[in-house]
Amino acid sequence: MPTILEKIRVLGENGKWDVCASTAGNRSEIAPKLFSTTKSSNSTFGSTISSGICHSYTPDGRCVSLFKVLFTNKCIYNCQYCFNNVCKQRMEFTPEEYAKVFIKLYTMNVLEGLFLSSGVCGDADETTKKMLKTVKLLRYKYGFQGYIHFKCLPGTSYYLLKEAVRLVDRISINVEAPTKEHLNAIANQKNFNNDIIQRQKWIKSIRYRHNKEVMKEIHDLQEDQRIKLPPAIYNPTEKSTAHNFFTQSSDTKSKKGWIDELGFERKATGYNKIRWDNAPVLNTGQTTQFVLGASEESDWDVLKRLDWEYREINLRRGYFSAFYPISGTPLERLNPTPLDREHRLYQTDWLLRLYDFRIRDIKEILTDENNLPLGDPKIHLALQYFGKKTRVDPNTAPKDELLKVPGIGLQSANRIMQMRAHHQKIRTRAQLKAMGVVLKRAEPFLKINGQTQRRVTDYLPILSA
Amino acid sequence: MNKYHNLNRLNTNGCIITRSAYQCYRKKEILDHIQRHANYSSYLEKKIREIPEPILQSSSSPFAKQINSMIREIFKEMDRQRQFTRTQLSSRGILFGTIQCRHHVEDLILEYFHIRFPDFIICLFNELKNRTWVILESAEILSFSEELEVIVEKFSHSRKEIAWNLDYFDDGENLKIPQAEALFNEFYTSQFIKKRENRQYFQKMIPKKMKNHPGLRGKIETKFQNNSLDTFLKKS
Repeated sequence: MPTILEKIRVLGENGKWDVCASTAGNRSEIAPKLFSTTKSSNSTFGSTISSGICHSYTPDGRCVSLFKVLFTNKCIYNCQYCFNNVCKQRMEFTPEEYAKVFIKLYTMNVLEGLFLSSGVCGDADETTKKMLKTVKLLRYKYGFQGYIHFKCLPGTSYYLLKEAVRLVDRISINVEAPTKEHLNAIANQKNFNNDIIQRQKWIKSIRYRHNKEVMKEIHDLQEDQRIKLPPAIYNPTEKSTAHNFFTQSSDTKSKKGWIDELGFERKATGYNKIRWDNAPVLNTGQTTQFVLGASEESDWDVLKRLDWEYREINLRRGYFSAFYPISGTPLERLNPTPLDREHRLYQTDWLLRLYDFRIRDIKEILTDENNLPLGDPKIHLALQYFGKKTRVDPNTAPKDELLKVPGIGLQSANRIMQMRAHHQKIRTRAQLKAMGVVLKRAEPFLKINGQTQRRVTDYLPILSA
Repeated sequence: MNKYHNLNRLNTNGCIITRSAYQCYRKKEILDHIQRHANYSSYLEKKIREIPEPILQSSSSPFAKQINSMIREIFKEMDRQRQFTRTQLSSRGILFGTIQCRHHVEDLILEYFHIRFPDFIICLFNELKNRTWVILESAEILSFSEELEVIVEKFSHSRKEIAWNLDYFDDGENLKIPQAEALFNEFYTSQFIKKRENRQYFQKMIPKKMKNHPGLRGKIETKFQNNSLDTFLKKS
């Protein structure tokens, strides 16, 4: 019988490959005691905060903020990249053990929340029930009000997903590979469409209904002070953006965006416009994770799938985990994926989500193998977009054009626009630097006070003459 | 508390103030928090009040630089103490631990713990000042010159055992759940991915004083099986 410490060591080794470390969520501000019953005399503890705190850092530089230990490493699947394949020690927590270990660590102030994931022991539903029992113990017996990220298992039933959505802050299911063929190559027992994509669609619809119901219940919760929403959000008589999203429906797509049939405000790219996607109290969204390089997929395959998920599944964000061969697994002879690739995909993901680049723009810069070129994708996109001659004048360019310049981020673009709104001219490089623009990257694309930076190509005619 | 506020704002004449990208604070924020600094003096406060806001936010003024760095020191200390203070929960719902604050930020740290544990009494002993700070369930903050153990004992008398006490504390025998520090040590060690080792980033992020904590015993990262000079000296 393994001890608790052994379980933590072995199952922690298995669980660390999930790269998600976010503890985002503002539920504590509006519903600090959502999971406590009014009659109960139990003490409650735990909170979610909008920007999480990292309580320690591992030598790889990653922060430790979530309790990332598998519930069990017993698994019916034989995914070829997975550490579970070769782990000789098979063990499982009981819900009570798992909850207590987590609480002990939480009261020690070394964790911000829980990341609950597991292997599939026997049946997806059977394991999910045990995981949900752990969550219920934490929520209702121990009164834990903090952040919980629930990792759904492939093939989980609808009713269990529904229960999970009501109890946790974030929910996710790992896609692992961008297409059916790629998934078959590394995990042939999983059905891509049925076990994963269908579940993602279910989670989307469950979350939508859940959030709608919660809006109706808010009045009751408000009375016993378990929830403190600002009146503008819950009061239907007042005009609020949140309320309008549930009542408005318009299919008219404009250049700047539109509101879809479910009431979600969309950007022109089809992505969700607001970050909290109508979740007034719980469930800050669903995420997913890709394993990069295990199934020889290209960056384009991954980005295409990600783009689809942002538009169709309302994905909050995607995570990438570079493949690393583990000895003993069928893929042990495969080369590890360079971490640079993971980094470039994260950069591109940011450009798609926050900078409103379109997937077709990304396609233009891909190499012959459909991978992203080396270096910052934004510089490649800028070279593609502005060509060799065009320079941007920060005094006249629209905001979306400013955002396309490398070295100008969301903050600095906002500052430039704010300065222009006050009829102030940008005349020097120092002004741009003061506003946070990275001149080293931005200058080749800018025209400052009528002057441009010279390029090597400018000297070629002189040299040839 | 908004320390990362907008870079550009209007001054009293309606002109935009463009400041450098270095982090600086509003005059009100400075006046609110300067008293927390260990080197605070009333003369300093008087001087700040006399100086106009644009000068306080200019990176070219040495005085402004000094003041802004003083405020930064306060917030940095507060953030670090929030992240790296390790606490214990007693069976009567008292959360206690030790802190090392040079500046007067104890109340801010207590508030953070109070939000996380609103139904518990929180006691923090400041090792540098030899004082114990307490926040009650009603968010009232008290300060005592006694040691931590004395204060915890004192507050324990007036409190009932927490509702899930039996399940939580008695499992030392039933389920054999080890001490929290042992649990964390095991958990921390299991989370490292060797392939992603990035010692430079790690050194940057971890505060020096934490180098005696789990995973970093004796200022040496236990993960790497490094040896200190003492190891060799003992062997010889």
